[in-house]
Amino acid sequence: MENNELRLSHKFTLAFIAAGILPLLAMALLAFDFSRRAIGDQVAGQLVGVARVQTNRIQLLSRLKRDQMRLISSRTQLRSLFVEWLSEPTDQAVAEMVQILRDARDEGADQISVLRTDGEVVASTDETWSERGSPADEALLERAQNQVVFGELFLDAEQRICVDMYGPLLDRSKQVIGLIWVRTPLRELASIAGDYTGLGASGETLLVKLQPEGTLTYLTPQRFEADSTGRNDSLLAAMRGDRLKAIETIDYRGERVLAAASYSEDLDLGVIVKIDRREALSPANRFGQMAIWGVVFASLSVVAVALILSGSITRPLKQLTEAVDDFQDGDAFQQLDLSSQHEVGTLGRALSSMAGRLAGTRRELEKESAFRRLVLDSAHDAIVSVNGDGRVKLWNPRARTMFGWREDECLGRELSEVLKVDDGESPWHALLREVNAAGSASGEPLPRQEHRIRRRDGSAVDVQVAASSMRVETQTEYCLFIQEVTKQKDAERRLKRLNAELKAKNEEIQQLVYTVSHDLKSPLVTCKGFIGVLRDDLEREAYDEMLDSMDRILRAAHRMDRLIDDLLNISRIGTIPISHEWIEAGELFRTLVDDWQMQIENAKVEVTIAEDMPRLWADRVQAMTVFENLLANALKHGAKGEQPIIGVGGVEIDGEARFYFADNGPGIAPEFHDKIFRLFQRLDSVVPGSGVGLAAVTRIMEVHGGHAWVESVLGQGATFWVAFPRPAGDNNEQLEDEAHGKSATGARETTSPSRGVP
Amino acid sequence: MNSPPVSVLVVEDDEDHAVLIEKQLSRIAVVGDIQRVVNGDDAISLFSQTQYKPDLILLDLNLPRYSGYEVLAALRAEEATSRTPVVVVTSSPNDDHAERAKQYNVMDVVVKPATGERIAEILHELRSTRPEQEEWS
Repeated sequence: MENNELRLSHKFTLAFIAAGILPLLAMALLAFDFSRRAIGDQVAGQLVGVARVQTNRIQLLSRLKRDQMRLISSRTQLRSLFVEWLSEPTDQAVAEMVQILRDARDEGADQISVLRTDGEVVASTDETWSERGSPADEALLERAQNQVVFGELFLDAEQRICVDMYGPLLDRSKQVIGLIWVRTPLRELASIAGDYTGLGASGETLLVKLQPEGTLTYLTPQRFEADSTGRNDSLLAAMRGDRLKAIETIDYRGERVLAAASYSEDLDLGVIVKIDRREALSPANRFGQMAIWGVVFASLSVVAVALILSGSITRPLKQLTEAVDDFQDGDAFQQLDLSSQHEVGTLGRALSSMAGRLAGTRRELEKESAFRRLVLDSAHDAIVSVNGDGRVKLWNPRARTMFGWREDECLGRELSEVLKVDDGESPWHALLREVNAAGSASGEPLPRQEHRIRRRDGSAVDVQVAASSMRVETQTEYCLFIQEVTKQKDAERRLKRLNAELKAKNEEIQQLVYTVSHDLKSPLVTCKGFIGVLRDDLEREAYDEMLDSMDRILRAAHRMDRLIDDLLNISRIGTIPISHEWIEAGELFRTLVDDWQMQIENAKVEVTIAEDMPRLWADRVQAMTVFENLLANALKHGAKGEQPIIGVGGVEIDGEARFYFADNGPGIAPEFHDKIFRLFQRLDSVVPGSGVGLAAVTRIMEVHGGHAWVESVLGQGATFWVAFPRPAGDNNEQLEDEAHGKSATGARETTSPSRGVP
Repeated sequence: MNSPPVSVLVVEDDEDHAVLIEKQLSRIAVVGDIQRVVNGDDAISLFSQTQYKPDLILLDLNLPRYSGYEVLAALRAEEATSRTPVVVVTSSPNDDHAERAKQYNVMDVVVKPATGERIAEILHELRSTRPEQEEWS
């Protein structure tokens, strides 16, 4: 936060500098440059002006000198004297010409001579020249016959700039008869060169002679250095140029100068006007210095202002930032001075108002959150929410108690990993798809499914799952409401089982009614039929046959009587109270065999009774009925072989006391194993019997909570079994063991409920 | 009538009922041979093991081991007895029997005890409608 703030004020300052100082600097530079240009131009103009004036002065001087020449040559007296001298060279003529020339010398010339066209001095104001002759070469003399020409400038012994001028001397017919030679100092040039007007402290006018090899020889005494020659191509070029202009160059001293140069052809003379660049541009430099100081000062003030301003903005911002940081305190904004009218104050007020609203919203959210927690924590349903991938996002306490998984164990895991269905594929993806398809219209019943789920500890729980979905931004989330319905499902299953049992019972009863009615009717049919036969016999007076018919009618009546008795007995089995007691099986079987000794002997059957049989918990009378019926059944149907044997015994298996009657008779086909236990069902109509005995066994065993069955293979005898359960709560095999001196085989805790305990 | 006597098989487990039927049959002139078996197994083995082919079967519904319907189904499945006329005899009259018996193409369902006249009627009907009548005459 501190860093950001610093950076902000830095930025602010930099922005100020960029916005304030850089343009200023640029402007200063521009102005400096502009002023330099302006001043440079001005100086150049000045130099050009001076150069022009000086050149004009030189031009004027040369013209003046020409005029002087013409004045001299136009003296008729001199002309006629020279013509005269040509025809007759006399001293007289020479002396007269010298006199004339001396008069003319007053014009300022050092010496004036008259020459012949071949350059021989005829008469001169300086007699020495008459002997020396003219220094002019032939080319110059040749040119001088046509016009006034100047020889080279030179400095004489007195360091004056002098020049030799030659001009034609014409007769009356304008024929060249001779030449005039004037040597004159050019004092004006010295004054031109010495005139520094307008050239400041470092400026000067130089007169130069252009040497054939391109060097410049300075003619006039220089202001700073005498007798200089040098080479300066740019000046040379400037002199030869058409237009007079100023250039920047290096002078003979090596100084950078601004200079203008021109050339006077008459005198073969260059004029250079120059001034030191430093001096010329010194006003601009002074201006530049001022500008730099201005910029520095302005920069300092801009930085100062920037710092002050940025401070004034960042300080409230910092306060606001701290207030926002401390927002958790709720009233952090109240301590701020938000009365200021500038933008930061406005921002602060806006933030404060927003904070107020946020605090309100937060309180609402906290209330909502508390309510949500209350609902989730106290819901009777397990509430589980999953994201679009089917991964658990929420797992309420009831889900923990329902399935045994803690929330932290479930979060992020696949729903199918923590809610494992009892069998088959995990149904959750299908359910979520169904929810998606159903949409989330409120008021519609949620899609519901029922599943049996394995808890963490492996036990099963029946649940009803309702699911709904909601869109959270682009994601779909699902919420499952899971209700435990184990009890209901158990009840439902029990009900279903009972219903099935009831239905089976009903069908059995229906079958029973049918069977009973049929079997009761059978003797009646016999009676009716034989009564009809009797009637016929009576009509036919066939008395012999009548006796048989009457016997049959009587037997049928007896049979019906017995059937009804049996039915009554069997129906009573469930209604008369039974009194359980521990019965010693061996004792019971011995009594049975004693009672049935006659029948056993008649059937020629050997009955063996096993030793070490378990006790049974049963009603003594009814148990006896069971065993009597089993013995009777075995005698009737099983004792048919060569050496019929009936084996009787008992074992303790699965908490039941099981007893068997095994014969070595013809056996019973598997498809009849159930049928024979039903009322009035007989496999053999030849052997007398009512078909009630085994039905009674079944009934009594049912009443005792036990069961009866047969094991048999056709042709290999039959073993009829009955199993009596132990009484509930009796789990002391030891007692059993002590009583019988043998270990119980496969003894288990009995689960069969006791029935009919009075 | 010059027709040959009618042979009848009685399938009846009840001794008295069998005797009764036999008595009534024996008093009808057209009846010739009368055989009796006490259950379905015996009836089927009779057909499968001998050349015996009765003109009519009187079948009791309430039989030990296999019921009358099971016997009927077995008879109809056998080539020899697939078209043998069968009259179902039962002591419990109800519509179910008639309906179920029809599926096996039985001539009639008679309620016990059948009178001699009723049996005579059936035999007469059998002789007059039976397609194989020609064979006999």
